[in-house]
Amino acid sequence: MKYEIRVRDYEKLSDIIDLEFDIVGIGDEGCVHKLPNIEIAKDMIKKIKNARKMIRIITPKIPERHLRRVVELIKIISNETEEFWITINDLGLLYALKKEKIELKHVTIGRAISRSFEDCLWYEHILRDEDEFVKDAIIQNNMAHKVKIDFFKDYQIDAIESNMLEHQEKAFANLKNCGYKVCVHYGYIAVAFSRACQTAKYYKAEIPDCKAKCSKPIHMTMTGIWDRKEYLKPSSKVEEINPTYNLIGCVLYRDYLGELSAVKFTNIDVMILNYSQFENVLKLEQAIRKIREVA
Amino acid sequence: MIKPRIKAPVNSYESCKLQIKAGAGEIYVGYLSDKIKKLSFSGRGKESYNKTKTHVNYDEFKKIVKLAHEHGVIVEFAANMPMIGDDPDGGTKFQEYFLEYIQGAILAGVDRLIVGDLGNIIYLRKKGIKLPITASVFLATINSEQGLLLKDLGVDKLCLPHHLTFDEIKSIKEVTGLDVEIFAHFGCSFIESTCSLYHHANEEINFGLPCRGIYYLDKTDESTTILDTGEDCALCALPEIIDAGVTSIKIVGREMDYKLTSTITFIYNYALSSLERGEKMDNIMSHIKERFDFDFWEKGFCDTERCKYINTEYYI
Repeated sequence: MKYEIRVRDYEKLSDIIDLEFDIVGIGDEGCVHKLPNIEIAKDMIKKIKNARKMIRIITPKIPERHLRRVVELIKIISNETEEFWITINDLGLLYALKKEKIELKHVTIGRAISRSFEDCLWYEHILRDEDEFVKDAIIQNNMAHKVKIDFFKDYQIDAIESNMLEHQEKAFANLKNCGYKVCVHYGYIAVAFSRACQTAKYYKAEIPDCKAKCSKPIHMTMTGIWDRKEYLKPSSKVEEINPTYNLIGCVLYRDYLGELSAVKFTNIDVMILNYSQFENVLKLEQAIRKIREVA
Repeated sequence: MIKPRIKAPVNSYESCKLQIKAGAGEIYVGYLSDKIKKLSFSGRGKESYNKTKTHVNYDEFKKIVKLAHEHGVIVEFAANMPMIGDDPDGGTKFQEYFLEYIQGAILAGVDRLIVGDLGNIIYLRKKGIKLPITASVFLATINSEQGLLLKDLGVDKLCLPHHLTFDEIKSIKEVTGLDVEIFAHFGCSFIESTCSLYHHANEEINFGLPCRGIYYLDKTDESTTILDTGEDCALCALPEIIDAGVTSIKIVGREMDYKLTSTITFIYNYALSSLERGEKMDNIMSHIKERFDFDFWEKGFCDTERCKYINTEYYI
């Protein structure tokens, strides 16, 4: 199993570059403004290559007004280095890169596309009365789907990202059977992605000059329910489920609630750790060490 | 001016009658499948938390299709289950259930299918389903390149996500040449296909609209509606929506009281018809306020500044 550390900011690269791991991910799965500009991208690639690590560029959903810029950036990066991985969270970007004949060797579908019903904190409640077969079918990863696999064959897709969830063992095995590498995000489950950035709104920050505002997560717990008419106090059942989240930029996350020892590492090819989710580099190192011990 | 059609939610025969009377040019509706108990093959549970039925039984469904066609109203069939894969054993039984659901709708005479999963679009075409397809908002078509990809797969109408600018809507329409649908009324904070804060999914626990809830922030010791970036009303934006070339405007609410949603349809239709006659939006708003009981609207949407496509400062 390989280890990947994601940095959402150029300045953070030096914090992690000398740690023991395999892949550096640059960019963010939620925000296009976290992609480096061309000069910074070139510099980062040089540093990552010098550290003998692999490079992954992470791209989010790309609104219409940013699409051309991102296509041009990827074109330049692909000229700069042949061996890089790219995470795609937008089918339009995938289509545009193919149309432009940009040669990509390793394309990974990110978790704004690769989803499971299990991503929802209360999925068990929603599926409470369904037959076991239906339940299993619904929580299956949506990329373990032969018609999609056939379609994606023309797009050099060789890996799928997924949340670390308790009941995805069969899904990971299916993805492996489909010929994909499975890249799993450690500890934090992506719950929802937005185009209207909640963090920028909270800080009343101007986009795109807001990048420093989301370097660390905002932790939160639901204390009021909006039922379209008024705010209500959460019931004891809601409190039991405990909707607790953290927000990084425009992406909402929740904690993985299971034990690390319950994770079946057999079908996981890459374990991804997002530096922004850790208090400091020591905590990040500890997490890697812990995974290595268990895996 | 090309007047966009209003696409209205239908959750009963009565609601269909009212929506048509209110000016709907299109309706969207799903029927109950016995293959799933609480959820459905569309983007809702069979009921919402308040026990409003979101789907109809098959006999009622056939009557709805007939009624709509008698009035020249297009029927879009809600088959937008947001994510689907192979069975856990690699089989396709669950997809066959979905196909049965589609075939039932075709037998009843629906005009179009709303599909919410890329694999399902490919699957249906492979199975010889030739009916026009609307790409559901669950496909999150946020740029024209994705529109072109979907066009290659046989989609001819795109339902666009909530948070887009007029320029982007216009560009997607022009580049793809496809029919474009946008949300006129009510909206989400997150991109639908990526959001797992499920509600209206037949839950018995009241989570409300989770993105609009109050959250306590540990670090600053404050309670706030931090996740709420929802926008609800596009009434004042209708001239720009028309200018962008939008074909349909959608009213959300299969899970709501149809008297409310048909009132919303009526107001939008009134505004669109007035614009078609050449009236100015300011005057139209004055007329609406004079002639109709508009207080609930102003309190709920205008006063809260939940204006769609206008307040774009926090759009990435």
